Amino acid sequence: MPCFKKIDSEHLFLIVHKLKKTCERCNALRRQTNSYGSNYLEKFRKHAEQIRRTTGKKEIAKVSSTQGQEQIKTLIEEIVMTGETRQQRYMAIADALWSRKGNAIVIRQPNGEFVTFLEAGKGAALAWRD
Amino acid sequence: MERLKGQFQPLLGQTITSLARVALVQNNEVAPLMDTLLFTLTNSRKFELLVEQGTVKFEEVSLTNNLFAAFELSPCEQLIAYPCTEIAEIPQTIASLTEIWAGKGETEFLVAVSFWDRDKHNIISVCTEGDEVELMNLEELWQRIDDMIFSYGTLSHQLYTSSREIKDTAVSLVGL
Repeated sequence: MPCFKKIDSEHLFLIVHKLKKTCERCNALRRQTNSYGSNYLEKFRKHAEQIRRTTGKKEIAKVSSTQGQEQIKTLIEEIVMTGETRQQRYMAIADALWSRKGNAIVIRQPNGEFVTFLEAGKGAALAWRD
Repeated sequence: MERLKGQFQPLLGQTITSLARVALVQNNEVAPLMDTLLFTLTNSRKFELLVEQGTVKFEEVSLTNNLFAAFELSPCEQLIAYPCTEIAEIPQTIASLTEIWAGKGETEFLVAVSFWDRDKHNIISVCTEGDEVELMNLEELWQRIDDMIFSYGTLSHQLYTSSREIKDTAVSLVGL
């Protein structure tokens, strides 16, 4: 028989409060990429090959096309929603959101705005420690 | 692109007259590329820096070697110099420069370059840690370096005072 310790209402309130905070943090970390900043097209073009390589999606259309941009946005969303997300510095962004799935890493502002794409294991991505 | 040490040495002894970003022009729209920095010298020579993840490309721009970007251009696009507004204190002559490298072995990469005048005053510092070229003053750079040691574990500094002389000035190591 499991043994449950009796807790008073004050402790119960604290536990519920902590659970709520944890949920809020989880939701923040998994928040969808709600904007892409002014230079996202240049970022997409710069990292297109890395995105194809690390996600295994060779069939992404040219980034200059709307179709290609939408495909990349979908991949970014997938990495954010299904990958592991951490909060740590990227360049001058103290609490950047890092989402990693395999070798694909998406960097976002704390408010969810897309910053850039990195490939694990080199350069600034070395800051992601297993 | 390679992890080439000392590749900024052509700037030693040279006077910088302007710093600019390379910008992408299409349909009269100008988009500065934040991963680039263009150095123009008094003798009209130009050098472009392009930062990618973990690598930098630093090459002289000439009639035969045009401005470059991290991606291929379409026929209707062109690259131009776009003046930097962040920096005011030029022209200045570079007497020495320091490179700061992070990590070890195969994954070591350039994270910053500082340019100094003959009185060892910092002219400008360039951070290449991410996938952009960040211009910053010395105080900002040192704040960033304080953070970098926790990210990469190892940072090494190299001083270049002439094209033939290389001096290791400091190596800091923190095991993670």
